[in-house]
Amino acid sequence: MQEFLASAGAFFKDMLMFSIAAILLENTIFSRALGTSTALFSVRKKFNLFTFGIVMTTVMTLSSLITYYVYPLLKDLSFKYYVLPIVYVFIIGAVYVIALLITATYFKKYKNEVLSMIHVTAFNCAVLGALLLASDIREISLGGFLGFGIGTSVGFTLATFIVSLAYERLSSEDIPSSFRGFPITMIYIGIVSLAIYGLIGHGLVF
Amino acid sequence: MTKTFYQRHKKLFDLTDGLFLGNTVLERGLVLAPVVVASYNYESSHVLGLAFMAITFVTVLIASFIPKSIPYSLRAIIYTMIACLVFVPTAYLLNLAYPSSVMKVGVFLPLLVANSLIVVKSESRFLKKKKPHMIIDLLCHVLGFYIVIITVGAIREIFASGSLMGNPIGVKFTIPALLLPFSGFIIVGFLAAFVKRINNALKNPKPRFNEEE
Repeated sequence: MQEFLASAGAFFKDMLMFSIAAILLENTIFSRALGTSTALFSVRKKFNLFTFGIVMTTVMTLSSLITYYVYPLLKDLSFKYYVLPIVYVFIIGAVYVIALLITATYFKKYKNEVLSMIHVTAFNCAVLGALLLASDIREISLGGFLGFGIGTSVGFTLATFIVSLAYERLSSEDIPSSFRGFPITMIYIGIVSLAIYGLIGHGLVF
Repeated sequence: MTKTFYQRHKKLFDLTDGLFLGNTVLERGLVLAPVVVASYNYESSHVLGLAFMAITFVTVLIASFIPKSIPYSLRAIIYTMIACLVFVPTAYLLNLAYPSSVMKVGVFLPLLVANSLIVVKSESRFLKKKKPHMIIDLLCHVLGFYIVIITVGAIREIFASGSLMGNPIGVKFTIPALLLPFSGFIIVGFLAAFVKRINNALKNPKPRFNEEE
C-alpha cells in the first residue's frame, strides 16, 4: 500500500512540476510562438475558450499518453529525427478521428461547436511541438509526459485568453489604421512575452 | 476618373498576392513560430526558409491530385503525412549542406510539416484554383515567406550580433535582447504594420486635389 502511495505521489508530483513548467516557463505562445496563428484564429472566431481548452487538453493528453509508450521504440534509432514527425502525426491523426467520432456520436448537442474546435486544435504546431519537445526531455516519467501535455494546452488556452482580453481594443478605431488588428496584437504579445520572461527570473543584456 | 497604378495592374497584384500584399506571415499571420523564435540569424532563417519552400510546395502540389471524394478530416491527415514524407529528404539534404544550423533550429524544422499553408490554406485557397494558377500562387506564397524570414533573420543578426551571414560589419552598438522571442513578435508587428500601410495606400488611395474638384 505504501509503495502504491509513494509511486502515485511521485506521479502527481512530476505531473504538477511539468505542468507548471509548460504553463509558465515554456509557455507555448509566449516562449515559443507555437500555435500563435491558431490562437489568433480562435480569438477572431470568438470560440468559447473554456470549451476550446477542454477540447485541446483532451486531444493533447490522449496524444501524450500514446506517444509516451511509442517513443521508447524509436528513441535508439539513428534516423529518429526523420521518422518522429510522421509517427507523431499518425498518433495525432488517430486521436483526431476518434475525437470526431465520439463527438459526433455522443455529444450531438454540442456537435457543431466542438467539431470545428477539434479541427483547429488537432493539427496545430502547439500539439505536435509539445510532443516533440517532451520527447527531448531525458528520462521523463509518464506523469511528467502527461503533465507537459496538459500544461501546454492549459498554457495555450491561458495565452489565448490574455490575447482575447485585448483584441477588441487593439482592433478599435483608436489604433492607427496601419497598426490596427494583427500588427499591434503581435507587439502586444511581444510585450506580454517580455513581461513573462522577466517574471520567471531572467534578466536582459543590453 | 483616372485609374491608379494598383487598379490598372490589379490582376497582376492579385496573382502575386502572396509575395507581399497578402504575405503569409505579415498579412495573414500564419506560420509565425519559425519567424518569431528560430530566425535569429541569416543562416537559420535561410535553412528554415528553404525547408518551408520545399515542404510546402511539393506537399500542396501532390495534395492537388488527391480526390475530393475523400472526407476533409482524412484529407487533412493525408496532407500532413505527405508533408512528413517530403520532410525526410529535405531535412537530410539541409543537414548535409548546413549541419550546424539544422541542429540549432531544433523542433522548428520538423514543425513545418504542420504549417497552416498545408493544413488550412491548401483547402481554402490553393486547391480551389486551376493548376497553373495554383502553382504561381503557391510559389508567390512560399517565396513571400522566404523573404520575410530572411529579412527578420538579417535584422536580428545585424542589430543583435553586429554581423551579417556570420561576418562582422562593424556595428558599434548591439542589442542582444533582439535574439529573444519577444523581439521577434515586435519586429514582425512593425513589419506587418508596414505591409498594412502599403496595402491601405494602394487599395484605398486618397483622392488627388484635382480629382476632388
